[in-house]
Amino acid sequence: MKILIVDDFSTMRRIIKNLLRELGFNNTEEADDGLTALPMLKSTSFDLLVTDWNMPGMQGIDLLKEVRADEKLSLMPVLMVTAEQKKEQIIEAAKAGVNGYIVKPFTAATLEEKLNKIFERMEG
Amino acid sequence: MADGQKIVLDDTFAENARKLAEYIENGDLENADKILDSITKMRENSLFQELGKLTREFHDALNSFRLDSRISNFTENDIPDARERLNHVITMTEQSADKTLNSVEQALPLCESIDVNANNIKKEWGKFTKKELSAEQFRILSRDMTQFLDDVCTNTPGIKERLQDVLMAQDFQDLTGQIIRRVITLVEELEVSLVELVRLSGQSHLEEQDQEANKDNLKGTGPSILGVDNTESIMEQDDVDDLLSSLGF
Repeated sequence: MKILIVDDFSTMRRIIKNLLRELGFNNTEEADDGLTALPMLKSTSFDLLVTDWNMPGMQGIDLLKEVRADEKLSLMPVLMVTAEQKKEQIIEAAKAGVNGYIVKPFTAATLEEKLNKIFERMEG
Repeated sequence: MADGQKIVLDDTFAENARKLAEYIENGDLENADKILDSITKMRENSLFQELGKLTREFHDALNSFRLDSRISNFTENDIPDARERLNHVITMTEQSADKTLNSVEQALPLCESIDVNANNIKKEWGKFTKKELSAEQFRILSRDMTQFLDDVCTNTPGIKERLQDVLMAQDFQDLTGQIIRRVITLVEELEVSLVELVRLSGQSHLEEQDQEANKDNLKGTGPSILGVDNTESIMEQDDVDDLLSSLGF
């Protein structure tokens, strides 16, 4: 299972990376915004995208839309981990086809729960 | 209006007055009428110019007033808002520091206990390998080793948990960073407005700024802050879960 973590703050990327490792996911890569992430997604095969919303360059919501619009990437599960918590934004993310939405600050348990939910649906 | 122009006007006015008196004395009413018309026209022109000057002053005053209201909006709303956000940053960094220090303080005694007990056992085990222990001393060592292994198995998850708490406490850097960036944007806007106030430039740029400030809710703005942001549409993790599940997710 290869996971791409996208966040403009390196501390947050490291936190998520460490939590994922704790959950048994050792194969992760990082990008600091949508513009950097998109070429990585297109050139390498990832199984899951974990992305922030509020980033310079390309925001997470636009990255999600790009992923859904791309023939090869459209089915990739996307988990949003963000401090954006307005109702309109969550509806927008749902419309764009997000698979999970975690509000920062979050706990390790929340991350595990949302990941399990995504994987259950992928298998089901 | 230039002084030179005023003098020319005054000269023409005096010349016209002289001609008017001359025509009236000579009974040339037709030319006297023409001169009167020309004098009236001159007065109208000067009135028009004064009106133009007034309009320009009014326009400048209006621009200045618009800038004033933007500046007063900064002082009434944006600056207190920024102050609240920065206070929130202090609170968050304080909480993170407390969480980290608490975790370290809880994990250290556990590590110290492992360190001390492991060293004791190592010393006794050394004696055992040199055949320096009696049967009774070996029984005590054996009991201590069992106890030590039990303690390590019990305490290691606690230490791991504390380390994970330290890890999670670092999320403040991302969240406060987003808040500080937003305040920096505000300071930049304030700077632009102050520069404009000095320059009293046209209003079109101000309108652009207002539109900028009213950009829709979909733009990422960083963490919401209780008592600062409009909390009506702000969702906690449980609300997010409920909303998504109501949308079929």
